[in-house]
Amino acid sequence: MKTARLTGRQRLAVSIPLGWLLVCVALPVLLVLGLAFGEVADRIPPIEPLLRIAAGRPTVHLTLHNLAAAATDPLYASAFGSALLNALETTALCVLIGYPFAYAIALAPERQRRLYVLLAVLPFWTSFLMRTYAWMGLIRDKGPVNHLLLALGVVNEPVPILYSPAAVLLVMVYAYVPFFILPMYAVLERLPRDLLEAAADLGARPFYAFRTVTLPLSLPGLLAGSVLVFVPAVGEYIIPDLVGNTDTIMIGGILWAEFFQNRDWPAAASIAFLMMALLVVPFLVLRRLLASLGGARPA
Amino acid sequence: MATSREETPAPAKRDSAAAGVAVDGVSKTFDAVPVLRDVSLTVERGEFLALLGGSGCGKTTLLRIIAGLESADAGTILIGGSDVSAAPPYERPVNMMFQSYALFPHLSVADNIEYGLRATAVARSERASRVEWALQLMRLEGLGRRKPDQLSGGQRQRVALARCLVKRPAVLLLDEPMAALDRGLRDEMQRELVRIQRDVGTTFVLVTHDQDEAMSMADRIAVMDAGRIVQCGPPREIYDHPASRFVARFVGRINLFEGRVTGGRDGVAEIETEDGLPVRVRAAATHGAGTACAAAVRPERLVVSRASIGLANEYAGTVVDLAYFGDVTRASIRLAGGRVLEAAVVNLRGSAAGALAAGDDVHVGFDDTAPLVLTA
Repeated sequence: MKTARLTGRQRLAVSIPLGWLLVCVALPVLLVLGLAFGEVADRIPPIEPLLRIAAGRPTVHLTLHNLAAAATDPLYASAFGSALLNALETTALCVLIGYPFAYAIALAPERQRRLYVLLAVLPFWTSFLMRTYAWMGLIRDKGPVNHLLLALGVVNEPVPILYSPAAVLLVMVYAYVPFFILPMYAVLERLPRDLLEAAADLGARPFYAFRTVTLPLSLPGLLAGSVLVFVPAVGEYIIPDLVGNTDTIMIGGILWAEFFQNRDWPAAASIAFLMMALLVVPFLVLRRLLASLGGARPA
Repeated sequence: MATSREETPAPAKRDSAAAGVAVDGVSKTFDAVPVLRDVSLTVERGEFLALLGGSGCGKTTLLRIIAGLESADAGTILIGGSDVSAAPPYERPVNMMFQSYALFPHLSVADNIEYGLRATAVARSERASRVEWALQLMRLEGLGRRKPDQLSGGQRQRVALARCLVKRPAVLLLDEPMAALDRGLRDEMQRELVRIQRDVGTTFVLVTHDQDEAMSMADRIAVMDAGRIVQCGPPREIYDHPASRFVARFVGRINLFEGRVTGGRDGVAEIETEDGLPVRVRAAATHGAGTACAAAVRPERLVVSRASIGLANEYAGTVVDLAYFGDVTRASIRLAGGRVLEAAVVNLRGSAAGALAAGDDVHVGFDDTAPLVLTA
């Protein structure tokens, strides 16, 4: 495309998404970055302007203090660590649950597939907050889950599920698994059936064929789905806040608290910026990995 | 075509125990539509058999049932004498070359070829030597590390074939192997396939809708129609002695004179067509008067001339169309009653075809030994 000249119409077509990205992505990111270099002030908005007029001359006031503090604060580090761990666990469980789910949909007769995909995304038709509250009701000490466990004789007294790391993981997996299933299904559904037939014909038993053909060819979907789950899961703060306990303070919650409770915008912006930087790097690595898996073909 | 194989006749013995493949009474229905109806077929060990038929005749389904990719509703499949009807594809000593080739896109050429050996746990040293052998056999040396999408169509086909042959199957099944190739490459690969089949001596079963392909490559052709094998025999027998109107029309071109036997003497039967044309046919006396039948004449048996020819069957007509094919010219000639005959005139130097033009009044005729009488 280097040498191709765009016509006026093509330029217009390109400028619309480009403008959208500029206004809705680039601008907010720049604003956050600007905030991260600012200083707290007791006013509205609670920040000193970056550009000030001092002695008749405009001067720019930037400080690295917030970023340095955010990067070195052990509380932030541990919160970020637990958020990463939680996101990793969520992603792993989403893969373990979502892959067979997507595979089953892809293998279903064509007419049934649409129904199953619909069922997989059906929870999105209800507010996310409502569904989280529903889970709180389900897993509380006197909720249906504990009733069932008691009735089945699995436990003798109600197990405290709500307000635990396990509850966070449970609701996270519930909320995020559709984001894994959809890209996974899209890839598995397009996997040519004759490749599996060829594998069987060449003497591969079903599991060998899965390991050597299906799995490697569905890796792009697996990676795409994992990224879609992992990245938002790191910043998730509502679920840990609602169903977790103090052990489950995560970076998303801290970000929220710094912004809304402490009104320390520069600190919140610094955390947000560091988080973004820490997530973009592994994402780029994944993309590179994906491209190399695809061989010479465009990913 | 140059690769005619009629000089190597198939073994006369039809012993199903020693056969490469024995299909017995196989039926298959998809969604209440019968695809195969009680098909039986024996392929000799080392034979090259072509399943020939139009789309939807069941030829590919039969191939897939032999491979084990589809299960038959009824009937048995024997390979090398043992019943594999219930065996999954990965336990059958057959390999299939897919129409799409079905190469694994994430594996190199060498890994594709090696796949079947790894899957069945062949020792590493033997794998290496067999892959090397297959690469050489298919003239793929130096391409081992490429990925399938870096190959040409012809190379991809060779990899697909190598991937099968390296397994040393008892039977190699080929599903429309030439469909994705352009014409020049197709002729070359047809010859190549015949050479390889002779060299390795494997039983080949080829599915094709292309009669030229079947005729030029196969020892025997099984013509299929609507889920049945309607005729099975060497190419020459299929062409010269088609068992039915369907086979006559499907394999090669033919002029059909539908009518009834009206009488005959001295071993020459007389047939009158529906439009009142008399056709004299030698050695058709076994059909009694009144028998509904068709006299069938291949276009190359027709003689076209401006002057009267003096053949047993001769009609006056007008040239309505000429199609030049280089080696032959196909002339459409309309008779007085409206019937159009197709004649193939070989383009020898100074031959009659060169002088013909659309609109010419001509005589068209054939000897009384030229037609076949078809009742089926």
